[in-house]
Amino acid sequence: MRGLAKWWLWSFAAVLAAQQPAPEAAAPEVVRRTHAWSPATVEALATLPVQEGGRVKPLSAHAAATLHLVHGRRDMKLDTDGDGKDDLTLTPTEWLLDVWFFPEVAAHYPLFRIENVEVLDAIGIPHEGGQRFRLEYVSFAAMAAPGRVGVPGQKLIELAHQYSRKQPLDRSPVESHLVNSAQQVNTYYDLHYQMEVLRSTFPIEGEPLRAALGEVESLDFAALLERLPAFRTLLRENSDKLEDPAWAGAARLGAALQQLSGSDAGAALFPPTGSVGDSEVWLGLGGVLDLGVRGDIAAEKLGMVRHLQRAIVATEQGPRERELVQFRDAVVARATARGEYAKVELENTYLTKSWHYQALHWFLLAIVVVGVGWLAPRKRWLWALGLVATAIPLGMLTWDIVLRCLIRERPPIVNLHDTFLFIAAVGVAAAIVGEVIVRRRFVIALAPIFGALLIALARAFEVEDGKDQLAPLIAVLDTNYYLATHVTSINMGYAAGMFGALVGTLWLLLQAFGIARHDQAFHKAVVRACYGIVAFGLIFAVFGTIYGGVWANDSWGRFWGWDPKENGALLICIAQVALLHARWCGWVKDLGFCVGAALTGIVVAFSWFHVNLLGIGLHSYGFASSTKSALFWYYGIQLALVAVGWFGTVMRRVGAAAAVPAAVPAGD
Amino acid sequence: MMRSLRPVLLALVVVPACQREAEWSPPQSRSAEQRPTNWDATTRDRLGLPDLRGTTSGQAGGAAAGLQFAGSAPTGWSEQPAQPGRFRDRIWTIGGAPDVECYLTNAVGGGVQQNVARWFGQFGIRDVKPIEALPVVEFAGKPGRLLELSGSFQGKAGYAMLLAFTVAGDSVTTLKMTGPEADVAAHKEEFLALAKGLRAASASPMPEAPPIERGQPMPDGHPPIGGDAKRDTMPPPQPFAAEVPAGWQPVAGTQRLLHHSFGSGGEVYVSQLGGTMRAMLDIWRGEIAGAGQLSEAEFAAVPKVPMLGGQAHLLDVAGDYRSMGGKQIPGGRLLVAAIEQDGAIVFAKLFGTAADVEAQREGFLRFCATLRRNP
Amino acid sequence: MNGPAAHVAPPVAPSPLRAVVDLLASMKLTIVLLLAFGVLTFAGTLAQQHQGLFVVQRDYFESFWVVWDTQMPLPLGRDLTLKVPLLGGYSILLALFVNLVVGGVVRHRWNWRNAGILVAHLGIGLLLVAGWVKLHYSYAGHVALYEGKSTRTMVSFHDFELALLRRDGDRVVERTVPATAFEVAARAPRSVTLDAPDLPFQVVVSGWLENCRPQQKGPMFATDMPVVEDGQGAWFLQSVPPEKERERNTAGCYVTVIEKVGRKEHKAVLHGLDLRPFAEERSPFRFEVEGTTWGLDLRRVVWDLPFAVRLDRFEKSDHPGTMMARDFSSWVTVFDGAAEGRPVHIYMNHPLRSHEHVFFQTNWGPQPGSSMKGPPWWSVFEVAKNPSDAWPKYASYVILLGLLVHFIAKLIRFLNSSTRRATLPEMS
Repeated sequence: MRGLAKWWLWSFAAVLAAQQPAPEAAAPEVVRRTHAWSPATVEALATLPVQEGGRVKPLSAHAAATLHLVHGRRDMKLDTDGDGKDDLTLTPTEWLLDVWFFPEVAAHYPLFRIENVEVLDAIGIPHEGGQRFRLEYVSFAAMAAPGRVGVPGQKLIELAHQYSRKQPLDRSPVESHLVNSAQQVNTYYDLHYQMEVLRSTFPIEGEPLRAALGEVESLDFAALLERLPAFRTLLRENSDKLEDPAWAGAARLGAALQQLSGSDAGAALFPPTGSVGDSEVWLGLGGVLDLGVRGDIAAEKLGMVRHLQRAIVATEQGPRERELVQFRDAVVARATARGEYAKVELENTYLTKSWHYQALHWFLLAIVVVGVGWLAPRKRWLWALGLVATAIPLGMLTWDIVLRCLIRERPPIVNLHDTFLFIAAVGVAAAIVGEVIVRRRFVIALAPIFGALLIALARAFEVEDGKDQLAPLIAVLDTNYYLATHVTSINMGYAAGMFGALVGTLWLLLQAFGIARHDQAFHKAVVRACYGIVAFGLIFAVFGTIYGGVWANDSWGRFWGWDPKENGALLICIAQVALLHARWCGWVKDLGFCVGAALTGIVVAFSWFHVNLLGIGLHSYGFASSTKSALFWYYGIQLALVAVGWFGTVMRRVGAAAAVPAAVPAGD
Repeated sequence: MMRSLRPVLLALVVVPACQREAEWSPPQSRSAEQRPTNWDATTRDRLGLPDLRGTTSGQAGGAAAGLQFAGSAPTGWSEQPAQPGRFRDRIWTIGGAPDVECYLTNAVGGGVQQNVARWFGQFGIRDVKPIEALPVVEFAGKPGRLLELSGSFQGKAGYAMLLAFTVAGDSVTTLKMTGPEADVAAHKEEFLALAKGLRAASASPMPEAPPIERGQPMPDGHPPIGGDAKRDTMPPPQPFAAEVPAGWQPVAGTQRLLHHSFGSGGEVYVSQLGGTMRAMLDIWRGEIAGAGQLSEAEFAAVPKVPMLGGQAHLLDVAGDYRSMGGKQIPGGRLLVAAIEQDGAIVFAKLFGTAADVEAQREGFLRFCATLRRNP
Repeated sequence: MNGPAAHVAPPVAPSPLRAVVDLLASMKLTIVLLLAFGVLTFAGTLAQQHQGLFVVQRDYFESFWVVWDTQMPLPLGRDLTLKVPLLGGYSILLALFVNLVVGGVVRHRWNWRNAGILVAHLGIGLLLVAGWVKLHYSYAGHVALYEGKSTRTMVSFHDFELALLRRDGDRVVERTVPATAFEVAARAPRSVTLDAPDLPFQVVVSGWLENCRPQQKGPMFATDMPVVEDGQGAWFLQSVPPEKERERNTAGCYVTVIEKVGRKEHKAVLHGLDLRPFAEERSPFRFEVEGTTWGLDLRRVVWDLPFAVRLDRFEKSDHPGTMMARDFSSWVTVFDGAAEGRPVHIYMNHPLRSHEHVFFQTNWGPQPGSSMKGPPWWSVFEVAKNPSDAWPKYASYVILLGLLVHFIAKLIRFLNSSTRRATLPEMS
């Protein structure tokens, strides 16, 4: 039904937008935004609880996730004065309020990122040759305005329907882009029309209908909801008369209500009146109508609808915000009574504070502090300062992870996004401990780089993935025991593998470029650290891998199925076991060990991410393409560094041996 | 492992020979509980093939297609000749209760929700109970649901209805008994026994293969990797089929049947609703601005076109179109071919800009004429 | 395993036997095998993109050797297509096991210093043994039940068998042949003849198809496949390309029953469609010989359970407002002696373990998005009979213990060692 309504409404949207002349080329659109939300209102609405994706969350989180999804960014930058430069930045909450309350204005915001000129051609959006003249972001209005080949949005969805029948791996980049963009347009479409019913009026035609519902020409949505009991009675008592022409108005209203009721898209805004035990499912406007068609609506819910409707139809910003905040307060009161509000504020705070983002900055600062420490190697206080500078963001990052655990009531890792943060924290923590033991400064030098890099990757991944990273779990994952044991353990293995690769690479480069080459003890310490990290990682990788099998045996009936993810974990174990055995039997010495440890990083990356991309195409285009290219970049860089390190080390040794035949090389 | 090698070894040893002797395992006796066996299946039944009669005979609505029920009537009940044209594939009457009608309808399309709504509608009840709330009964060897309604039925007060149904895809198979409340109550046990005792004499393949779909995401329980875990690639079976003119694009993700789009914003689909023809025609006319309701004479003069083995009313109105869903087509035109079958109205509806509709009219009429129910 | 000494052969001239044992105990062999295993795992993982899990598991990981068809896309747009022979998983793991036992345990120095390593090796050994036992002595299938229904059998996911049934009052007397025997009959005109001295007929199986659908032949079209007429119509099998997910395939074949006396023939098309849980009965091809009723049924392999299971209730809940399952679970009654049975709750990650069989909640139906709607629900259990079911869990504890003991001991030694103190930098 929703799909259908959408389909119909497209041409409706086209009519709306037809009043705007279609641009000849995608010239910079000047956004006429005449209103502004007061900070207090935005703050209050940020903690409006809504139900979406199977959980109750703050509006700020819903807005951020939706903006991520449709826009690929966390904020909306606007050019309001037409000078070609962005001069206003909206938070996700402000943007969502704009879409709900000023859909015609928000429809002109530069929204959908189109990266390929062929996509614009395919859907008939004009552009200037092949130049990237602000082509990246296409507004919803442009999607809905009639173009060269019909309405671009409609064309887009038609094409996407066509290509979505292909396996994701078989789609061309343009086809994938079209499918992806269609999903974004669809999502936005729901948002654009979510409040439409509150702007509508329902004609009251025919004498019998007027007699029952009041002598009015038409009713707005809230008023109609109030009169639904009377309408129900009317229909029930006169079911045999509905064919009478005098009753056509009643029949038509009934049919219209039937079509509207239950058709909801987007977040559900109205909590059920009873307790969570009675009903968990929140309602949208269609759901409320459906409730009213079947039985009576509680006065409380009617009140919420009335506030929201008044806010929607208000002509001035003051009354609009007042009603909106009253709506918010009513929902918060109900959600609090239902025990669903406790985590909403926590999550909003989590999002606002964004501890891991702050940690990223502090890690960058720590890189500088540690770097300064290197200039004065004998200053103990500088060394200590480096440790502290790294420990501060580690604390922030850990707090961020703890908050995520609290919000979800889950162990630290339940999805891929979590792995970045967790691995960053474990790697940095282990490095601080290692530094205290080894006191060689190089471990602490790598720690903030490692931390900053992984947090940056986490943020990139979040945008790429475009999903709610705090979403509830599918049934098979509903086990805190295995999430805490297997998942945590295997990720500690990943962390150690990556950090080991970093240390191994460091040693190779130190050797190759002859840095601190007279300090043999220092070089030895680096190798030792590398060995320790690999051994540490092996314990967790092996236990995590086998315990994953134990979990699989409990939930799927087989311990080991040679599934890509299992194989990836196995490859890490094999690489580390082989490396350690090679070291023990003397096949490799320092050079070989560090080369092996550095290459293990590639195995870890393959297991951590790449196996997910091989698969049976479940993954969105964005994820697949850019994560894959990021992975290949990493493989290339890591291989190049190993090659340079190995070649440089060997050449240096050959040179040293030639110069001083008696000299004993440091490694093998 | 050895198992996988066996063919290779066999190939090496046996290649020259054309035939190979394989061995039966020693005979073992098994109980009926261990090996429930139907010794009397027809070949069609055994191979799980649908009965093709519906489509080959071109019977009205193809209602005779699908399941044939083999069951015997309770004592005191007598079976009457079937009326497949009225969707009554088996009919029983009860001695001493002349007003009671009981009949079996095989696999009628339209989806369970619409059918349930229609049944409630026959009693003038808008407050449709969710299907989950209905009690489970055994119907033709499968779990089915029982619907009990009472009130005013087709203008007759004090009536009741017992209706057992099973669902397969979009089609619903029903055993329905209507009559005066007292009579229906008195024969409820027999009705339930009949429902239970009916057997499919010919099983059509189930809409869903047995659930061996193990494509669950990440079986070893890894964090979800994003994306919807599974997407049905197979469309649900369509209860209707028809010749679709070239140029109509199927609409995906729709609840409508044979839903297509054409031209700029034009759409066409098939659906089924409760109500009467007269009221429905007026409701559709209401979607075109200014097209008032039909007078008695106008209603009588509505042209007829062939559809589903009968003569369907053809509504053809032009003007600014606005659907109940809010879709607007200024300068539009609406074509609806509607026919009453088994208390429901089956209709094909086409709308779009006047020019588009004119271009599609021929195709639409052919579409209606070739419309048939799938087995 | 602290140094090369553990694996180095003594300097005296070795006997041939000794040389073999030395080789088997060698740590270098360990590394070679591990690298081979790594390459195989990598290859097998990539191959799953084209061949599907089942085939790869059989051809790569349960075989002695395999030819890896690389089909690897290269960054420059061309595919790397090589055929690389690799050792299969069976050979590698067998060799690793021998190497582990001989080198890692028997020849290892048994002292406290090595205790952790020894224990870890024992754990790995146990894991490999568990895998071997599972491969050879376990089988798995599924049970699908509607609420209120019970069963005494489980059904294979992948494998088919041909069953010959003799009607014996209410009971049946059955003989079976696994369908692997018919694969040679996939190419016409090959066929497989089944005979037994005490049977009054032979059964000839031909036209074997791994995946197919039966068709009724109409008068208006021709087919290359053999057509069987039986008075009710004309029937044939239409081949369908095999699916990557092997459980989606439905096999079929043609059978001819030839009576030994009189050479009378009964021909039929068989199709292995399984409609559980909708249809519990099987409908065999029926024929009469000398007054006895016989049946032939091509079916997914059926195993009898040592107990009966009844599904009493299935429950699932979704995350509110979505169609994403939050949890789903089944309440069943197990009848294994006591008349009234015992109730068991089976849910995600909590299987039923009874009489060497394990029941896992794996699925249910109708699924959201399918054309049917529940309730009524059916519940699907994966059922495994695996003698080594719990061994990997024990192995994981043993290995963890071993590794922890070893590396913690090493760390303590390192922290106390003079080397560390010597390498610590001086700071002021």
